[in-house]
Amino acid sequence: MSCKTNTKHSRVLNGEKPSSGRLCGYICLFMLLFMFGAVPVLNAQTTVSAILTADSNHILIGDHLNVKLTLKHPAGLKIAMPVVKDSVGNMAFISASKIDTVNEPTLQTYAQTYIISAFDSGQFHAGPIAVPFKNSTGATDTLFSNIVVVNVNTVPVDTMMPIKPIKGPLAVPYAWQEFVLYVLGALLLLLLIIGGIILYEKYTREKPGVSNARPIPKDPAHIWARKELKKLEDDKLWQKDQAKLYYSRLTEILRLYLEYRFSWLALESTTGEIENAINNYQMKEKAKDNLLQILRAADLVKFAKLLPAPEANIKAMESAYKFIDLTEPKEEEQKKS
Amino acid sequence: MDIISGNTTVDIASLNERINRESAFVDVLNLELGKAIIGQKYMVERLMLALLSNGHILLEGVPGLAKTLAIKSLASAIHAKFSRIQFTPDLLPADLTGTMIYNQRENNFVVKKGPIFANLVLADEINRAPAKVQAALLEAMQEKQVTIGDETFKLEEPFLVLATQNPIEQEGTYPLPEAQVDRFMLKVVVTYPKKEEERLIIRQNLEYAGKTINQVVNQEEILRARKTVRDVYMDEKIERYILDIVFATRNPSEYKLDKIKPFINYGASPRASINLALASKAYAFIKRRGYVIPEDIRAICFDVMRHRIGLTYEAEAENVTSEELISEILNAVEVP
Repeated sequence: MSCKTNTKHSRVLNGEKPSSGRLCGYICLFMLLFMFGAVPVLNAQTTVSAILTADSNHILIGDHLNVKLTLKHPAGLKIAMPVVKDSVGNMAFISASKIDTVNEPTLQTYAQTYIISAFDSGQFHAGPIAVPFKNSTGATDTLFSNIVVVNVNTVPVDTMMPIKPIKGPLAVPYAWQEFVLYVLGALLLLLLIIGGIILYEKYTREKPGVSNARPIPKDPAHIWARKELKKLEDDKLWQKDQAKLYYSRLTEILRLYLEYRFSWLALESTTGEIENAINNYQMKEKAKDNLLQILRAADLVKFAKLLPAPEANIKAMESAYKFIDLTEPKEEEQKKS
Repeated sequence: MDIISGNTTVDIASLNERINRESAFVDVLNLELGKAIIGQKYMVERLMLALLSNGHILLEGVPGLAKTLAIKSLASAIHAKFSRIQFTPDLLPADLTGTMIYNQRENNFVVKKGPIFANLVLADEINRAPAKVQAALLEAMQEKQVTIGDETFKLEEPFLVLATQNPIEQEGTYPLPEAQVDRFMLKVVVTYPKKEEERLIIRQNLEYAGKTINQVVNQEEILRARKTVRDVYMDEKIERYILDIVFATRNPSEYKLDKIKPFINYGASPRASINLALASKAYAFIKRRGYVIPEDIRAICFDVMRHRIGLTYEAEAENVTSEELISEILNAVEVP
């Protein structure tokens, strides 16, 4: 359906003489035109028209339907395209396209397509759409578009077919853009954690070489200890009345041997502490006795001015060798180490 | 053959004998104190250490751990004059030391001596009194004399102050300044008794008649023992060990202790060295030895040093205690 806006019908106004039958026909046509299409003609007076056309007059329920409003008016006339908000006629408005404008010297044309739909079955109508404008006298007037009748049909149900469950939502394919933010967030979190660990390590770890680091001899502990004891013997300290120094060096060698052999901080431990430590360690009783006898005797020499007899000094050295013999690692242990 | 065969030089041998003779009262005193005090052997031992080495003790512990009972019992056992001063915010120095009182009849001022004139003084909750009172007490502790008006009075020997601090309540207290705390020879942390000990405490307290403490030592014996303590032999090596420990608190880096350096604000003062030496001698005496061994230093090190190491904010933030620092030092300094 369309509304013609031409006020001067060609044949009627061209001065041709129609026959009486023809005249009746023209009168009928004129009447029809007056009934269905003359509103815009009369309103406009100056060839303003608002024509609504649809892609189809039949849609399925919920389907989209494009309807196009074409507005034509002479140049210089103030007129604006209507703003459609919720509905077009009694059909639901969904969206609108951009306004298409055609400027001619005497005529201006605007066109806009609306997507509409209906969510019930039956007969619906799109339009009329009101278009306000200012006529030639300057008064505000309103032009209405025509109506488009749309039949909305439901989907035919085949009752003979078995009832099926409702289909689940369709799986949408994943797009990498959706995950970019998550991936970046996870990477940032990971970096923060790593940074935190590095900072924690930096500020809490012990500085290298702090914990009583002493140079470890190249030789195994027992070989190193025997060499040191031999050197001590050769120095003949107690023979030169330097018993205190003799016992100091003797106990130092044995303490260092304990450190290298058993990883105890024996040099920083007192005799009592070493006694407690070896009691908790699987060691031959004879070895324990030898060590403790030397340490106790050395304490007396070092701190109580004891002057040991020469035999005691020799005995201390023998006990030291014996202690090392009894505690040196077995062949399997040596191979492992 | 035993390795320990030989001769000690004469002075050590005779000293050992003398100490054996003069320290005999220690066991008797312990037994007598044990009648009233169950458990708390550590605290009692430290009390004796302070008594024998002419020092003072700062006790830290929650109320009810027999602190007052211990010092009261000790006073009874050695027949010494005991006084207890409860420190409060309104206490004045004169309440402690004494003052001059006008005598109307005689028309003159007479000296009224305060509770500090005793042999054993218990200064309860010392941090509740303001600084001027603390200073008055600590001055008396240091100088062993009190001046009232124009007159100076010597405090009677033996003179031992046992001050207590409650570690829980800090509100409304005046914490002792570092310089004042340094004057205490030992700072002892008193802990709760063991379960079995507490059971015995309950039983003892339920008895109708309390145990009376008899005098087992006289003051002369204590004073003589003090002299003997000073004679206990301390080898040069032990002196070096003491110095190493104290210097490690001042310059940890020199002892490969860089890791504890950020936690120490200031190290132990020379009083720490003096008191370590003196207390270790007293400890050797109690153990009936005429010479000091490294074990003696280790045994008293925590009590002598814990209040003499200033901790930094880092240490407080990381809950590092002075005891932990002392442990690190003892594990790093070589034993002679």
